[in-house]
Amino acid sequence: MFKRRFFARQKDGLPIVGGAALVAIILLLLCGMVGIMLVKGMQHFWPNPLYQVSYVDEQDQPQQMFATLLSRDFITTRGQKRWLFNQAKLYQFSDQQHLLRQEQIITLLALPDLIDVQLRSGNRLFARLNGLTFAGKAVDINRLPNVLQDVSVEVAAISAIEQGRLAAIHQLLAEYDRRGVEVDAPARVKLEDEFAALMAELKSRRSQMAQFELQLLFDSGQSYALPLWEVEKYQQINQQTAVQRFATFLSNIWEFVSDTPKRANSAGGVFPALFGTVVMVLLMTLIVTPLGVMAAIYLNEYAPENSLTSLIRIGVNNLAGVPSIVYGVFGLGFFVYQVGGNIDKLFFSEHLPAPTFGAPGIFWASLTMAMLTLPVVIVATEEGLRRVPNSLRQGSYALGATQFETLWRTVIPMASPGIMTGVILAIARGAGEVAPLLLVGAVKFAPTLPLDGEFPYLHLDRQFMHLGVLIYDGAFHSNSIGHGSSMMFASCLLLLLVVMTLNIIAVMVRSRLRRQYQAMAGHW
Amino acid sequence: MHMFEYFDLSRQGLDLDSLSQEQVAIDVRDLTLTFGNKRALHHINMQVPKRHVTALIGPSGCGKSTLLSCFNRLNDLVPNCVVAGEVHINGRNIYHRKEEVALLRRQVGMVFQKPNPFPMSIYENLVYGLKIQGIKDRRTLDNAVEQSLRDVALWREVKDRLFESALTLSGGQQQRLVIARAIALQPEILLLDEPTSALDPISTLTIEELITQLKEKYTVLIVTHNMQQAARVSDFTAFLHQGHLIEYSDTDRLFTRPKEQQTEEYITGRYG
Repeated sequence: MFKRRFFARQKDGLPIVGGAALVAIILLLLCGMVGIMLVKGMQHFWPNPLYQVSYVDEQDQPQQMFATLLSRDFITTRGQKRWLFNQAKLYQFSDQQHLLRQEQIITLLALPDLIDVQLRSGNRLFARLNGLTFAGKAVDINRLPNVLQDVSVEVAAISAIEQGRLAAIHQLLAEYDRRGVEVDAPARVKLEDEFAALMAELKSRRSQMAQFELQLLFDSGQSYALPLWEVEKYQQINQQTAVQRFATFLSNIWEFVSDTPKRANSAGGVFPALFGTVVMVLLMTLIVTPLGVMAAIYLNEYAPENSLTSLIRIGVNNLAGVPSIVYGVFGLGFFVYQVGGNIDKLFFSEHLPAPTFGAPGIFWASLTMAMLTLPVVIVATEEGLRRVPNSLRQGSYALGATQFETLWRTVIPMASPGIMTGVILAIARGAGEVAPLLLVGAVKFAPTLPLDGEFPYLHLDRQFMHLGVLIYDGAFHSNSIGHGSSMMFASCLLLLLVVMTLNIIAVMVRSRLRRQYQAMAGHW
Repeated sequence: MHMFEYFDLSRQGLDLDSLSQEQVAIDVRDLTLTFGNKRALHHINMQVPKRHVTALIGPSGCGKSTLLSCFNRLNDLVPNCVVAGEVHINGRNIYHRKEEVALLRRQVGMVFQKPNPFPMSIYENLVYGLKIQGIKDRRTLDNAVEQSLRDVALWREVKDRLFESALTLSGGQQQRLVIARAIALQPEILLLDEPTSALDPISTLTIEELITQLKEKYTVLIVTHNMQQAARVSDFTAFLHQGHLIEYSDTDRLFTRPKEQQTEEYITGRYG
């Protein structure tokens, strides 16, 4: 008796322990994934100290470079550790990675005057700061922040004049040319005088400004005078206290989410991609929800129970299994070329052969993703509709409601948590897909946002940037492992956050609906 | 003791065989109903008198609920259901092809076995049918809510919580709410399909008292499994067996001097 019970319990125990272990492994994997994203992603923002590295090269010649240390143990071969450094030099398009054997390194000095300069061109350089000069005469180096501030204001003012009044005069003059206005017409002479005066003013302001120079010393020992107006910002990391470093860290994060990408998406921010992802997902949701819900209502409420209906249902379920790239090709072939091409022929023929809707764009991308997520919404909605008790339908009919009124007033509200489940799944899937997007509208770099202050505000025909595509792109920055890939991890982290935020919003809406229609559980 | 009190209340000396046109609420003529190839009702002929309670009794599967749902055409929703014969309400054949079913169902209210309030507020439940008719006037709706709740003796219990979810009510209250929801449309006929079988004895008693009051305004048809209930609340009783109407007469006579042997076997508990 005792023995039997003992064994019986063991038999029960195995599936419980096994199940628990599997759940634990899954949880661990999930935490590990998020953890790696978090650690690697955050590294992208944390300011690393700058070192003057003295080492001997392969020919036993002593060398030095200014670099940040990315890893002390990047590769270990035959017991030898290799250190990975990151170098940034003037006029080099991207950062350079440098791998040194431990024994090659002589000294590693965190000199306080090492400076990390970000240029307006998007480039970056490491150097020693040797001073600030105005027209060749030294200026107190402590005034550098103020001077840089003044110069930045001046640069902004100059470009405002260039893009404002100067551009307007240009246009007017071009207009005069087109209309054949005499060269000595008084209006024209007046404009040209103003133009010359402005140009002279700008020239003098520019040359005035250009007299501020940063005196830098490169790792080759060469000194260099960098015009201050080329500098966007600089950091003397080695002089920063922990609090200042943390502030830099936060400002780096802010730059990441609010700025545009620089240097082929390996520096700067990802704002356009973040924005594009959110706009695309929202558009997709707006398209897929009504379509999916209507299809599910037809299948569940109106369609007769026959073999054709079950065939359709099988088809819908199988659609969920179609590889996403197939949807991408379908979107390109059907939406972009067929539908978009015909729209262009009918409505935008004056622009042809340049396409308007006949080229990949955010609307086609959203539509393609809506097709991709349609089965999910249909299946979840049908599940929600099936859970609405028949007695409520009968109750509604018995009060003189037609089938549509019953659906609209009772069945759909009660199925709305199920519909939201479908929307949540669709968002999660839609935000993460990359392959189809590459074909129908997402690009590595888009100069404009799909939504801006220009009429008609939402530009459905524009190409857009997407976080997933940016990550995909970042993964191929293999020659600049350090920075490019850390940007990729940071983008991954952001994508996770975006999906989570969208999901949390949808889950909150769903739980509100559930509370409202709590009858679902346990109601007859 | 109770039984006899009810008996005394309900006798009005109507003779089922000689009802005048005005006294008939539902006139069933040769009604036959089939589900696919299974015949559920066979040539039913009966006249349901106005403003009385008529009970339909019989063993499970005898077709009494099916017959009830013929009167508001709710069986239209059942696939493969075919009806032959005629049912006249207010002098119209409701199975005529021009009959407007939604309109019919406003005139013939129905209450089901299990309370089925919508997951909305009590108020919204009560005005559901009126809103579907397009009535938006707040005062009309308010009046309808109060009147129908008073009719089912629920007003005092819920008047302070009209905008709470109807699902917070007890089972008995929910069933009265559902009856009030039907009454709010001011129907002529109320169909009750085993309205107390999911309720406790006290709620059952409340509903039964309610039914005897309702017949002052409405024609009530009740399907019940419970013969005591039929005897307590109804004026007339129809006994159905395997889709046939075996016996239909006033309740007193059916329970005390049944004409048919099947009826006697059923009411004495030897069968069913």
